Amino acid sequence: MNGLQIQGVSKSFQQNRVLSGISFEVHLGEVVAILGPSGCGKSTLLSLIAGLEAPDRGDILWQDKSLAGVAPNQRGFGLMFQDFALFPHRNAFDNVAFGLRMARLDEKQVKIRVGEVLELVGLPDAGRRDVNTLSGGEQQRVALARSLAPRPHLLMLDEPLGSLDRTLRERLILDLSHVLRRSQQTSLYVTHDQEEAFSLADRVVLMNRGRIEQVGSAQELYQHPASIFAARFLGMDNLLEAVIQNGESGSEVVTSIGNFPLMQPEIHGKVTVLLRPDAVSISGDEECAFSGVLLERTFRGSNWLLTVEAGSSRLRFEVPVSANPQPVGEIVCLSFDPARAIQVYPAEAE
Amino acid sequence: MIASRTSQRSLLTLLLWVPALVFLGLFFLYPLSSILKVSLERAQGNFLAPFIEVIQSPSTRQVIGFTFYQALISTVLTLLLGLPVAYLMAHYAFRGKALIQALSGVPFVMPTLVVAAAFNALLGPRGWVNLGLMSVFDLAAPPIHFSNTLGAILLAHVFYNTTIVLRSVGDFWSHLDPRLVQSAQVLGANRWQAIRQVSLPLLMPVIASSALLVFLFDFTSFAVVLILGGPRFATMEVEIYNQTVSMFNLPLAAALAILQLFFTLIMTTGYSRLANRSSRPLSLRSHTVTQRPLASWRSRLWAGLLIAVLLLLMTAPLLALAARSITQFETVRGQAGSIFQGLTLDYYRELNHNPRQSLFYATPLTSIAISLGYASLTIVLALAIGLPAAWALASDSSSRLNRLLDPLLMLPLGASAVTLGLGFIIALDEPPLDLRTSVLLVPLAHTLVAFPFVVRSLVPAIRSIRPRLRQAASVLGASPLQVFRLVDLPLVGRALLVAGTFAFAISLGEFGATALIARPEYPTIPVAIYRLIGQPGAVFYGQAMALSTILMVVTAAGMLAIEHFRLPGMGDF
Repeated sequence: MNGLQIQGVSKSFQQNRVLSGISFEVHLGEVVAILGPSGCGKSTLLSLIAGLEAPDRGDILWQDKSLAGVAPNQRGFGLMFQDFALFPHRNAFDNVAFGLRMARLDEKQVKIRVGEVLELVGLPDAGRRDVNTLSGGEQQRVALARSLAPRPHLLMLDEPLGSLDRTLRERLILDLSHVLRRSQQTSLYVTHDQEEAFSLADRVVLMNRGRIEQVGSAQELYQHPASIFAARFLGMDNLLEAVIQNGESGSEVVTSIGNFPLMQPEIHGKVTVLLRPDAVSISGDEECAFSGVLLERTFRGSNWLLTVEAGSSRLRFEVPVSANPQPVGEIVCLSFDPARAIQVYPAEAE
Repeated sequence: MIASRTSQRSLLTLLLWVPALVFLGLFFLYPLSSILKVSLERAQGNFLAPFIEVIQSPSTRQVIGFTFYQALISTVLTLLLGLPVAYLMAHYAFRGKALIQALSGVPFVMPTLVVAAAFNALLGPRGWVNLGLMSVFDLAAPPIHFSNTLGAILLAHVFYNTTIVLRSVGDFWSHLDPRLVQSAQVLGANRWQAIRQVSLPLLMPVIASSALLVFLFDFTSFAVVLILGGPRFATMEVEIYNQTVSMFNLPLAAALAILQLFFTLIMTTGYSRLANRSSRPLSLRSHTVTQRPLASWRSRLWAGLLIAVLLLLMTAPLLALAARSITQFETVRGQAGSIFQGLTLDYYRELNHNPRQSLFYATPLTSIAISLGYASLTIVLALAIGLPAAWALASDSSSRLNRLLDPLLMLPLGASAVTLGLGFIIALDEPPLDLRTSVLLVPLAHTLVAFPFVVRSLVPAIRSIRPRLRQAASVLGASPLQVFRLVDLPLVGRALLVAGTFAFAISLGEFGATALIARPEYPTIPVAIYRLIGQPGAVFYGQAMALSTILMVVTAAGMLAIEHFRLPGMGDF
């Protein structure tokens, strides 16, 4: 059965296009992450789904029924904000109970359910505490409990770990993932942090400037970034300007560091080439695909990080520890499998 | 060495406090204690007896009851208008909002006499609405009875105090994190439930404190009740005045004043408790996050309606006043209504007219000169006494002396104007301090009223001078006096201008105390307006309008100057 469907949604604020033509789906029981830099429209998208704002164009459906005109309190969705928005005038119990009381549950059931969710988030005894005295991590858990308590059809989390420090965040990612899985909660998770998105989500929606760049599993995204933006955002920045040339043995990519066979025959003219940092190895002179001056080598335990100047570009590569690179300042010779290491994109418009 | 320097410094602080302490002691505490003494004259051993007598007497009990009653209704009405507008201003961005915000501040600073005259010009028997209705429907008498009604008092109070609700509640509301309400909505609360369960509880302290402040102002309202309410209505403030001026029953007036002071002290204590009880630690946000355009036609309709009501209430009386001061009407015998005679500046020219050729009659023009004189003296006095105190307060905020004396400066705000006037009458008309005929009597009273404002606007400016600047100047060879003249004074100049303007504007508009202590041959502008408005005849009425318009324009100009010159964050109360 279908869960959430977003169909061609656009939204502007005062002539300012924030979202254009957004379409994707969230299946029941699935955790989908919306990943993108700040200002890409993620939070606006959540507001639209929650019903706090209305889309200018397009439609949002839940189980095949349009949500247009349905008030936020009628949708049965949950939303957890970045800074949690706990009601400062109520204690933890009353915060968690808020949604249940709005649903007119009797107090006995409210008590049972609040106890359940506080247990689930690992704060079974926090009920009577003043929310202003809770630590950041505790606030996050209470906010999560509050969102989960009314059993929302869909739970939306807006950068739920964004305001916490790094160590706490790493611990909470796992806890959060655990809670969402255990309650089989259909969720939409907004973040700008790829690590968070990759470790939590079944699928990732990558957004940039109000558009979707790519949808897929973490592995798909990482192995085949669909655009220059996607590649850069995922930390792959070995990008070279190039042109496609038709040689005798098929098409070739002509770059400043050498010519390589083209594996994507549908592309022509000016292009940008991504050289995956992890798909290159050090080789002897005879197999050399290209060479450059080794500027820097950093031992990182599981691999070496090399900075190589080739042509006029600085490129970075990760090679296995066993590769044993030569000292800095010498020429290194590198080889790769073009099918795995090279991805070609139409050149960026200037 | 160090010890002697600190003791030197605290000695200097103490010296700087001396003028203010002497001033407040002589002209605030001494008069108040005199009032208490007079009220206890009839005590006969039981010092509560005079007050019990006041409460038990049916006539004064009625006055006390009415004082609470009208203040309560006024406050409720003010909230009924103020809260929706505060919501609108806090949550929506629309064109003309800045203008509305600026306009909504105007009524609050207007002298009470101007407000009374303005409502008279709009709705009184000789006001625009009645004249209009009379000429349209050919009526012989004004159809709307506005003067001398409770409605007039309430309307003027709402006019005055809506600003308080708008400013305090509106400001807080606009910074309230919208996500709290959104969270409630997502958790199943509808819009009204979200406001009731989340916004209102969080706003409650600020709503309560502004309601209490509004109530306090309505409770001690004087000129509005005296002029618009007429003889039928009297608040305690008006009754104190009447007992003093008409009945010469000083003991009763004094007992009433003490009783009123008791009530207002309870309220001010409650107010500062509420205002200080820093509501919960809220994450407040900037305006831009919380504001959105008016999208649906229904919200536009509501917003338009609210703003129309607000603008009508805030601008119509003042515009009516200005227009009435330059329009002539003539009543023609045997004909209903009045006939429009055209625009005229006659009322302004008449201000210099002495109808009885009497030597003792002060023309309205003279009152302007007298007011300007008193206002100048007030500026000098207020700055001379306020500047040292502000300096002491600003230079060392941690000193025990300062923390002890700081609340003392705000004390004059707690006593009503008429009470101050009564205190002057009782205390300062006999040795050791006989100021009955002194030109300083009125400026001293005005200084007392202006004093808290003057100090409060000076302190932040003085604090803003970094000690490094002074040190740099003295290292470069400037003597302490030169440092003051070349560094401090230019930097504090703007604040002095603001403080001086406060003193000036307050002196020009003050009526409650002045009405009691001004000598008949030396009326101030408000006193002259009060006399003119009570006289029969179109000429006197026109003169009252003209004089009120002048006072309105001068006050507005003063307040504009204050807005212009004051540094951000200054003069907050």
